[in-house]
Amino acid sequence: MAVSVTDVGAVAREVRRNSFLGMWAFTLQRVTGVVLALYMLPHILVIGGIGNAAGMADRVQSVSDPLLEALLLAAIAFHAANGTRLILVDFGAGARIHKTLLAILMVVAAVVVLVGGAKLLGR
Amino acid sequence: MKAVPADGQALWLWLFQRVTGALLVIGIGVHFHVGHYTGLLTSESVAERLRQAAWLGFDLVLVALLAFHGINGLRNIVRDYNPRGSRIIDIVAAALIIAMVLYCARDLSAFRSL
Repeated sequence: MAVSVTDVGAVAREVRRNSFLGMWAFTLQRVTGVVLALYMLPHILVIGGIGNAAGMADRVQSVSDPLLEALLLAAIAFHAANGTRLILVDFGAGARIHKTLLAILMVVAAVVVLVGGAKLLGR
Repeated sequence: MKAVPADGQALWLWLFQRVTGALLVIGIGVHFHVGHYTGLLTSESVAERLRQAAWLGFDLVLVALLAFHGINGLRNIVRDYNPRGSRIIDIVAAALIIAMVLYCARDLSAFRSL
């Protein structure tokens, strides 16, 4: 139903009813997907290419940064959690409760990022 | 609008994207744990792990799943802006997936003989 933008109360109700959560999830899924896909190529070249050389520890340390690792974990956790929701919805389990599913899975992802990120940063 | 493609190649690619995604949730979880939470990786520790057939198999399967999911995902995004598709992009995507798997298979076997 169309909402007049001058009707502040109606706009507020509309935003509560449809908070564009699905759109944000879609956009973030796409952004994290591109980031992870672009990450995997140099990751394979840099880490994988050490196989024929000694001194892996030095090379790994030179390319690792706890903050970047935590950001990587955050991108993976979001993409995996939201992807799980997409699979559930695509296969007919949860289309009617997809926003609730999203909330639950985002809490799971947040716990993974907080616990895992704290371990990385406190290493 | 139907979320599921009707049949043919599009259906298989759609299904594989979801199957590989589900498996990668577990596989990348294990991979991230091994790489970041089990102490400092050294050439020797990686070589020792990869000399076990199960770990070599795990890593090879993981690369295959990831290569498909990542490259097919990029292809899906490209197709959103070019719905008629492009044979060249399809060939490049397939070549990238194969190249990634072969490149990693070579590197993983190189680690074993360290």
